[in-house]
Amino acid sequence: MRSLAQRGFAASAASQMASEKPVNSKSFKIYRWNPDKPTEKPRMQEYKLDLSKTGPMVLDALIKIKNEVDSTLTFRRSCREGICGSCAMNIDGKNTLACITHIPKDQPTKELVIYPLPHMFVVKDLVPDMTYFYKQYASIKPWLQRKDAPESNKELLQSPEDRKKLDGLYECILCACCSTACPSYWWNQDVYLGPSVLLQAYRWMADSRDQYLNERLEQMENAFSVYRCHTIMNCTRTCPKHLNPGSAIAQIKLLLAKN
Amino acid sequence: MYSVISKTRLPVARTLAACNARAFIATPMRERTEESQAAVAERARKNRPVSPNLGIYQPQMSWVLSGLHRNTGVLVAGGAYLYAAAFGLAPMFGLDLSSATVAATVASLPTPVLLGTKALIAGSLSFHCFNGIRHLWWDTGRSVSNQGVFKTGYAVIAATTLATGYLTFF
Repeated sequence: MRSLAQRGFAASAASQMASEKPVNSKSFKIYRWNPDKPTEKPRMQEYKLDLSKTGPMVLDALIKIKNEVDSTLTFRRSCREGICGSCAMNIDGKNTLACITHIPKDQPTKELVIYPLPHMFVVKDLVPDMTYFYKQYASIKPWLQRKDAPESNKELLQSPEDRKKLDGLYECILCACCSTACPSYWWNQDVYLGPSVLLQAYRWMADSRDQYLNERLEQMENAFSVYRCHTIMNCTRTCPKHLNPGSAIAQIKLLLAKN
Repeated sequence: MYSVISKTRLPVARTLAACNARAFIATPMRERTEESQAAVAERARKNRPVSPNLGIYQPQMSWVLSGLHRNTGVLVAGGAYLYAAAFGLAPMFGLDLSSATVAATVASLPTPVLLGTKALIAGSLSFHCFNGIRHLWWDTGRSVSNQGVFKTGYAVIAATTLATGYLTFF
């Protein structure tokens, strides 16, 4: 009886302590634009959250705001572990995935500023229109192309060395962080393919099983598709998967020079 | 849904169901919305703003040096073209732009203006040259990585500082 009472006391004390965790307030400034009121200009809206009651990632904060503060806030999210690329956005000036970015705790007084991916048409709030980006991706024919028909019930084998050439390329999740970090892509989006799509283009050029290298290179043989890249390298700097689109583009340029 | 409501004996529910049915029958299709769904979507698409870009992106060595390369190139090449054109056209307007006159005019400038002008031209020229070499190096496929950007970038900044100092003061 006594021990039960004691345990009860201890439990209530513990819960009291949990609820009395010091308030760790942080403000989030988020880009807002509503397509239902198209004449109103985009604006920055400030939200304050208690970090002691918020998950560690920026996406946790966004979901908490949407659930508890303002349900009209709109953003894309899905896997919450950096593999789907849905929550790509500009956080504190850098393009990255909200789900794998920690809310900075070292500067509690500084606000966290969130914009959609730069220089994209905005559908609503943090949601950019990706239609053209996906069209560009489709234009490089991102699939294995063969001139001879593969024998039935036979795999297309690849040596371990050839397979290794695809490392650092196949991991791309097409989140568009790199493309929308690229000033060349900002100013020439209509004609320049951008780092993300070019990394994918090189992924199929580098594949030993693909037989359409020349055709793939021919498609790049113009002033814009690949040559609008001026090795600015914002792409590699910002890639949340730590890939190197800049290097893939350099390899395409070298292949073009050799052919 | 309607059938569930109408089966209940509650008068309120029955009235509600009746209202719903009347509204559904009495409203012609065309009057239900002022615009078609496609028209609303079309209007929203036309007004889409372009998200902020250069003004909000974090200053990083990668794009800051790239922007400097473009601007110093414009300054140096544009300046050279302008001076060459002016040199050719000067006699027509009775101006003297011979080397001796220009040197004398420059020498007569107050020291801070003279050093400032020299530093601007020397800095632009040397940065554009060294960064140009950096670009040629990149074009061979070397140092195209985060580490490479920083290493070559700092090398260019160091070389530019030395060259600018030398060209300004000696």
